[in-house]
Amino acid sequence: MAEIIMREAIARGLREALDKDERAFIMGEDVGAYQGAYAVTKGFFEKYGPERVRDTPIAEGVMVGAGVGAAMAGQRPIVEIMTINFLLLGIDQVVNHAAKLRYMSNGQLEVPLIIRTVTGGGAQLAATHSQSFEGWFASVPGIKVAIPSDPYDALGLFRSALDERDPVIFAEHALLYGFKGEVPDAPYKVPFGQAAVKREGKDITLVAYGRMVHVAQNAAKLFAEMGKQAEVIDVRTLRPLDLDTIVKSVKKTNRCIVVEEVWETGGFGSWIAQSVQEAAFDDLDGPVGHVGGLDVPAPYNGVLEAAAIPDAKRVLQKAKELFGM
Amino acid sequence: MPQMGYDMQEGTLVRWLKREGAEVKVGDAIAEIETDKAVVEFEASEAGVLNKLLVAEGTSVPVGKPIAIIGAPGEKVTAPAAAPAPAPAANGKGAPASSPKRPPEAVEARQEPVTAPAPADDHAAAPGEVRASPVARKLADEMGIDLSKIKGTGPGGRITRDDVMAADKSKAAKTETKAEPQKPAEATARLAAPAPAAPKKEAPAAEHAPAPAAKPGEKVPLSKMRQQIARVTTKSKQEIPHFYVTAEIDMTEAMKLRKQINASLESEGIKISVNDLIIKACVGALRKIPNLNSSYTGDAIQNHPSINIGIAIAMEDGLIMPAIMDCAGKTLAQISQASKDLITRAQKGTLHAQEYTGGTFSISNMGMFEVTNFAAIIQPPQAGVLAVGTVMKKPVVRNDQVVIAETMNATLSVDHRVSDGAEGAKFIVEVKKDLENPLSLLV
Repeated sequence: MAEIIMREAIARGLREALDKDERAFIMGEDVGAYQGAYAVTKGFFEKYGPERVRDTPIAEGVMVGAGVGAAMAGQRPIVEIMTINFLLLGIDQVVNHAAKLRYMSNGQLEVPLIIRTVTGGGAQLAATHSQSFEGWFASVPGIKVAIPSDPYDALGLFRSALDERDPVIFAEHALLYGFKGEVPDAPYKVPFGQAAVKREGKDITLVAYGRMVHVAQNAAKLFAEMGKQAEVIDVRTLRPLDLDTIVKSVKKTNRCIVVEEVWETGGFGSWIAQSVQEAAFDDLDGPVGHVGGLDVPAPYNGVLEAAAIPDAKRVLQKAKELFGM
Repeated sequence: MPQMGYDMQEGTLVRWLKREGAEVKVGDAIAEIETDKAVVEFEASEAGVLNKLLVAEGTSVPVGKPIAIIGAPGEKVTAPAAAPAPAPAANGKGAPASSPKRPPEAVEARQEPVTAPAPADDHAAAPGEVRASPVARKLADEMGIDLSKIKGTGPGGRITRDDVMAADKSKAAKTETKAEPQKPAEATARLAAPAPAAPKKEAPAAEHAPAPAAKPGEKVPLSKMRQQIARVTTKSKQEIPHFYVTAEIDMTEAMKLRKQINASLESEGIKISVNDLIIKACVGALRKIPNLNSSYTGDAIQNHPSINIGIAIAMEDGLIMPAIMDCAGKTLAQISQASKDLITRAQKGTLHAQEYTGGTFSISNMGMFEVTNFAAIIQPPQAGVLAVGTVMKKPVVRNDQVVIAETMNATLSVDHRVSDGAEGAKFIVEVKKDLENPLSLLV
């Protein structure tokens, strides 16, 4: 058991993939000679060479399309899209090709493609580089979406992504690369579709994913100061979504707030909230709350940006408003 | 107010079954209405939206007076001015739809475009409406708590989970006091003929009051439970020729034994009450004298195959006498447990129907009010009830010596149509023998 940062956990997963499976290769902008825009593939180019760590032109449609083709042809492509904002250029390949080929070929084709990409804001990268689109992709049948919140989950989920026979969007939050956590040396996996109770409590359930798990944890600490015990659930994979764990928790706590970074309007969290209220209506002590990003383009100004992203205080405000807590 | 009987003059709106704003179909029960004969569900005779409830729950309303308005969704309604004198709905037809613009029968109004905004602020609870979260409703239902008596502390006055839990806690605290060994007698106090002396060191008297104390000169309508108690006791006293047999019972040994048992079983959470010992003694006596475990049926005496001992339990607005079923085969510990369970469930309102009606003999214990004795009213169709006073220290003569003993008076009421004095005496002597030689209760 060693304490490592999330960047290293993901790099470990990538090395395992390249070491174990000769069909596996990485491609993306600046993943090779430059060693990765977020330095995840540092040292890879040297070790594995340009065939397996391939630099690509700035053309996300081509990158995802090439990944889809390679996956169909039996390879195990791992495409790195520098940020999820740029994946919008590859969205047709993701939604209309990667997600549909198994279905439209009646199972004759499969697309075991992993798209690693960076999501989220908070680093003053301004309106076009600070968005969180993982929920958009999670609404599409045929794709799986994983979003780790700590090094343990990052490696465990990545190992499960390698086992998948369908396309996976693997969303890594930019501000979590330096986040430290214990990761066992012994092999383990974190299965898709299994949410984690990251903190136990009996008074309110906070459901979150990605960096918002840490916001929920901070909120839980503030709740604790008020004598209230919050349960924090990390969804870990948006699709498949583990509703059972969430509902079980809500039946215990009777209160629920879903926290996410994307805009509140149409956020994936509102789908979670909707599912919870259908499944646990009789156990609710108030409406299911939803706290998301403010409905504005991400401000560049640091103070304004911080105000637009949910924090623990907003979670507490919502709890007060909905439950009088 | 519909006419629900040829001679009905007025009816009491017991409870609204639909809320203001609810959609109703023809035949939907919208309210419970109490006539002088029964409580009847009142069904909507028109479809639409229940736009306005004109009458608060618990109000007595003359036949023919509107109680609610059914109209189109969002339709603006105003309550008709006092007594618009609509024809009495002799056919049981419902409240007429009414609006400032439309004649009462405007059911088709729903098909017209409705522009009027929905009346009333979303957050304000309508009079008589209970605003509670789903889980609060569920818990209240499970715990038998009346939500209309709880004040909500949530947003907009919503009753929350914690409000219900708090209400349950304060209720549980009361229940605990009530569940004390000798407490059930409190209930019997109201069944028993003489009014009990004021409690001495127990909880404040107000807590024992059956209903909110009436203000001087005020006329308080009877609650359902009071009505039932009135009916049953009147029937009993009018139809059953009671006779009474009293004995003084030396409880010294029983109290000692109880102490010993409770000390040794403390770890198992078993705590035998004096009442449990009395129940056990009565069961023994009924096995020897089964005639008192029977009912008078007019042309026969129906003996009961099982012994089900009713115990009087105080409720907020009266009392009930549910029974511990099949006592014959139960040990003292089992009786004690069953008794506690019965009291708990009685307070929660989760008794089984059979427990309400299945008693074959009852015990009424007024131990906690320092009373020497009292006589209880038989609960029909049972043939007897044992009324038990307080255990108190008294000088008694034992082996020609005056010693201090703990004694208690018990008075048996018997239906003379079923049995006679001699048998009653035999019964009470059996009870006395068992309680004075309490080891027999353990065998």
